[in-house]
Amino acid sequence: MLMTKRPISPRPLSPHLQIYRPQLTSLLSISHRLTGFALSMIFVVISPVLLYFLTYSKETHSIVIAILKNGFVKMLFSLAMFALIYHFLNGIRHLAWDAGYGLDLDSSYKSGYLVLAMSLIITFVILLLLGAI
Amino acid sequence: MSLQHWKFQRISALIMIPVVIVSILYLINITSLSYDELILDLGSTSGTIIGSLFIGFILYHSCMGLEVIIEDYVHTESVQKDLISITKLLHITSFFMTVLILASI
Repeated sequence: MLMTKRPISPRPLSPHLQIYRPQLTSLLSISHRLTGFALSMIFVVISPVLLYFLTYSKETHSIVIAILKNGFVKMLFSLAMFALIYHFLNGIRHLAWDAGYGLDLDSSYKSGYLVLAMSLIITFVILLLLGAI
Repeated sequence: MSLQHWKFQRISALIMIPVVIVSILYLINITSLSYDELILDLGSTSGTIIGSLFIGFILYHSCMGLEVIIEDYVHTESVQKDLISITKLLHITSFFMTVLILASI
C-alpha cells in the first residue's frame, strides 16, 4: 500500500456520486463490482452447499433437482448466470483496457453496449441449453 | 505490494477465461446425467483434481476482488484489515470444504 495512513482532513472526495449524472460507463463499472461481489457470495457459500447435497445421496440429489425446478429459484439462477456472463465479458473489457486497448471514450461506449448485448444473448442461450427457460 | 496485487489480480482474471468457459460447458453437459453418472464423473480422480483446481482459481480471484472492494470502501484501517482477514479465512474454509466434498464422493 502506498498510503498506510489516510488523511482525515475534510477535503472533498471525488467523484461526488450524489451529483454525478449516471452514465453507461459509470453504471457498467459499478455493476462489475456488484456482480463480482454477488458471484463471490455464490462461490463461497452457495456452490459448496449445492455440491454437497447434489452428491451426498440419491435422496438429497433429487431434492436439489426439485428445488432447482422451482420457478422462483429458476429466476434467481438466471440472474446469477447473467451476473456471471456479464462479469466475464466486462472483465475481458477491463483486461483489454489494462493492455492499453479501447481506452478512448467512443470505444468505451461501443464496448460497453457490446458487453451488455452479448451478455443478454449468451445468458439466454445458456439458459436454453440448461433447460432453465 | 499494491502493484503485485494488481498483477496477480489480472493473471487470475486471465485464468478465469478458460475456467468459466469449461465450467459452463460442463454444467450444460451434466444436466442430462443421472445421480449415479454424476457421482461417477465428479468422483473420479480427474473430476476431483480438476474440480478442486477450478474452485481454487475461482476462490483466489474472488478473494482478491473482495480485498480491493474492502480497501476502497472501508476506510477505518483496523476494520479494513480485519474484514480482509475474515474474507481470506472464509475463502480458505470454503476451498477446503469443497475439496473435502469432492474427495469424499
